[in-house]
Amino acid sequence: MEAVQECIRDITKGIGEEKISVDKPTRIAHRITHGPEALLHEDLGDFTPAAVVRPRTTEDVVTIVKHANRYEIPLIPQGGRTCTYGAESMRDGIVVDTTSMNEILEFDEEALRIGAQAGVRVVDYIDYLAKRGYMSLEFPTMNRASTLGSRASISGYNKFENRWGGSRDHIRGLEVVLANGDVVQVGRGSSTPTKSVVGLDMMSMFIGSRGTLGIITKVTERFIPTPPAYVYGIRAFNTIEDALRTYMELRSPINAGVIWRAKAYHKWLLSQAVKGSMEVEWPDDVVMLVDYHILGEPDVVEATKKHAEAICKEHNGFWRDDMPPTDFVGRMHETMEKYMGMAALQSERLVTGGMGNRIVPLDPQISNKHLINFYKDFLVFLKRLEDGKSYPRLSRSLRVLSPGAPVPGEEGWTKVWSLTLANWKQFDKTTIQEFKSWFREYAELVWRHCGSLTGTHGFVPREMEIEFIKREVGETGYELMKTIKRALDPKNIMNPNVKF
Amino acid sequence: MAIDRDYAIVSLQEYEPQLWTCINCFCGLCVESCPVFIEGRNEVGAARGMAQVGLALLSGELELADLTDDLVYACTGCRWCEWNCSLNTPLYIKRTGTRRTKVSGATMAEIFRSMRAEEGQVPTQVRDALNNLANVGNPFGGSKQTKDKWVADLGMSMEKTDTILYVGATIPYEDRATKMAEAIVDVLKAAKIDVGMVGSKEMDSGAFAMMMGEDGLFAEMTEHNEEIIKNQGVRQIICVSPHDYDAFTAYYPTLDGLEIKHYTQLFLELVHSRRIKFTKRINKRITYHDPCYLGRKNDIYDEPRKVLQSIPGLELVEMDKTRETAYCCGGGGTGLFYELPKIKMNMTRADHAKAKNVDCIAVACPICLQMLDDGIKSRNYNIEIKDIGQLVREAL
Repeated sequence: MEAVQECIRDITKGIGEEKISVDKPTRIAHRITHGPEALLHEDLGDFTPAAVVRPRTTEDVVTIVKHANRYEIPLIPQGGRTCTYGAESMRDGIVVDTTSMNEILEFDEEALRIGAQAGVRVVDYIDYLAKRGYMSLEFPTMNRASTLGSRASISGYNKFENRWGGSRDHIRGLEVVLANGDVVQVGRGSSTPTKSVVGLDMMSMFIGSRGTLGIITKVTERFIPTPPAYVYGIRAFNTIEDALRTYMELRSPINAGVIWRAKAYHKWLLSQAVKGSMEVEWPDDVVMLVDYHILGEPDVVEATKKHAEAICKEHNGFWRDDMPPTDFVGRMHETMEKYMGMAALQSERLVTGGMGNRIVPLDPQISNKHLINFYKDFLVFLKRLEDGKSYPRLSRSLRVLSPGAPVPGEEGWTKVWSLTLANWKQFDKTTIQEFKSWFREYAELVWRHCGSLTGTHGFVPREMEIEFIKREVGETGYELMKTIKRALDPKNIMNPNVKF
Repeated sequence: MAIDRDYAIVSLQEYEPQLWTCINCFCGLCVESCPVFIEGRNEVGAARGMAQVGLALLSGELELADLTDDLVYACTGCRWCEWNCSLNTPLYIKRTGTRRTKVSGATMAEIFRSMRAEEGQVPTQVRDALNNLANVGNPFGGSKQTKDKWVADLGMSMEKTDTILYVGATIPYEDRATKMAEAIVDVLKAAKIDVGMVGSKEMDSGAFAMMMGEDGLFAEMTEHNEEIIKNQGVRQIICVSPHDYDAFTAYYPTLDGLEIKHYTQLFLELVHSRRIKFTKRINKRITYHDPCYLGRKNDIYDEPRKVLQSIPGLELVEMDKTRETAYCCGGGGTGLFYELPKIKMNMTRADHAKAKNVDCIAVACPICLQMLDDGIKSRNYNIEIKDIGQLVREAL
């Protein structure tokens, strides 16, 4: 009997046959994710695992990992699989589907901390807190499908990142099952869910590790009381410079305590969005919109709104009657949260009656210093995708939905959140090769502007990943990562397709 | 009349664009609250899983024999996935959406069942129900004489009439469903509504055949019913079952122009016109379970609630999963006939009601009535299950 079959047999004995599936339909149902990597493989059989296990407890995960370690069988942890990279399965691997680990375990109102199993869906977590008068700081667009463990695993981006930071800032403790089956509670210098200098900050190493260092089984997060007041504002701009300067000033750290979010939108997206959903022609001279969200105590919110409006005015912000009502972006966002994104709304299915598209996200992180110049170069780069000359096959299978909606990353840095839509069925060998060349050109552009390729979604074509990591962290940095990986996972069983 | 192609079961090949649409998007909204996923924790039974299976069947990577009963027969057609799908946006549905172009786990399950039926690979319980439908028009194999006698005993006319009460295929062959229909008849009589029945000429509307993937039988039954309805001179059909209501409104193009109502819609009209007058109080805490084919499939949420709220003394409370997000009773699809060991939706729904500390679950569907009654009994909860017709009759 092959090692993988022996391993499956032992896992079945250990956790019970109701928690494991080896039938081919189930294995096929768990092989890919929301991400673009599958577009680049003509044979999806490469992704089909040997089994899918559904642990309910940390003890189940320990049993699975110990057997996999003994037989040296790859384990691929999966949550809601709405991530854009890293949760694709692999041939002869075993998928660890964490979505049955879905219990809230601890709720501490005084300390504002909540502990939950890794498979709790973010939407259930948000509801749990909301019913008790609290607000979740985890708030991805895909909150109804993604899980808390996945948020840690991908170092997720959140709606109010400008004020509160990303998932890495909300997570205060993790329970991880290591490759040898040991269970470790990690935090920032302590296993207590707060900052400490007693030990090393081991938790951060696991955040964004995409299952390569261990399987996250429990997450402890911070939460806040729901703020009593909220206002939303939006202004239009005739130039990219005016819009991006407004955006940068609104999201400046000096305002970030009250302006929880600011975002800019380019007319390339807006014209498609309003035409597709509202049957309105977008006015060509309106190049960008910038919106802001202010939350807090009512008097502070009111005063800050005046301040925000003054910033917009200073940079020639306006609104006109030939544009949709000012709440349309808010409604667009509500719709996005219901339908998981503009990609759904603007897919070929809606626009031409064709099929839905696969999202190919790009989210370069660019410093404020380079933002305006990068943005202009990025528009040129994206226009070349659609001109049909540079990438003749790819231009027929990939189109731009949003050339980048700048949203706050770290202080002084911006995620240029861009979306392209792919027609998967047309991705043949030539298209795949063109896509890889196109992506390489994208990477060079980002690096020319001193940026990083991806802040959240993490998509880099798998065959380029190691090369690109080395370009960003250097040979020595990558060797350090490998040293850590070897120390924690010497048999390379933890999601071995990713990063290493 | 041969059934219009748009109203028949779609083939896997014809449905391929929707499978690709789902797999391209891969948002997973269909998985989150899919009752099959919640019960069995296996995504393959939810729409996203079935779409991948469908494409693998088309590519030859899977064969029909690879599909287990757990996959093919678990979906109850509750339409959670269809309602919540990223790509079934209201705008799309309004513009070009039809049953054939919506992304739907229910449709995928019907396709798989249809393929199984073509190959003769149908589980015994489903095959028996289908044979009974074919032979006597109801899935239980009850005789036509039984139905005619029951109608006669109720004192209902089987002559030509403008309005018929269509009781469907479970009645009078299942005790609980029969009592429900008798209560509705009593209410209609009390309100002096001139309504007839078609007795044993009434066959299943085709809803069962459709859900079981028997396209040919579905077409036969709809043709038969169309003829009966036309010959009877019917202008209005009052349906006891949401499944029949849905079938008549969705799959009978030639009935366009006929008024088709679920009985709760008529009841509300009668309450408003004071033809239903309540003289007694029902001092109970009651929750209403939305039948999937009345709620998500046909947007009828308010009428049943308003009828209940009009009953003096009745306190209506909502379960957490309610209206658009209501949980299925488990009786749709083939669930009423073919029990799969991992699927206990009726017990889960009983738990939802228990969490609200109610005295009674009100239903508006003969299938929900049976399934939830079984669920409550299995859980040994002290909760009554009553149809809205029974509650209204009690309060007259």
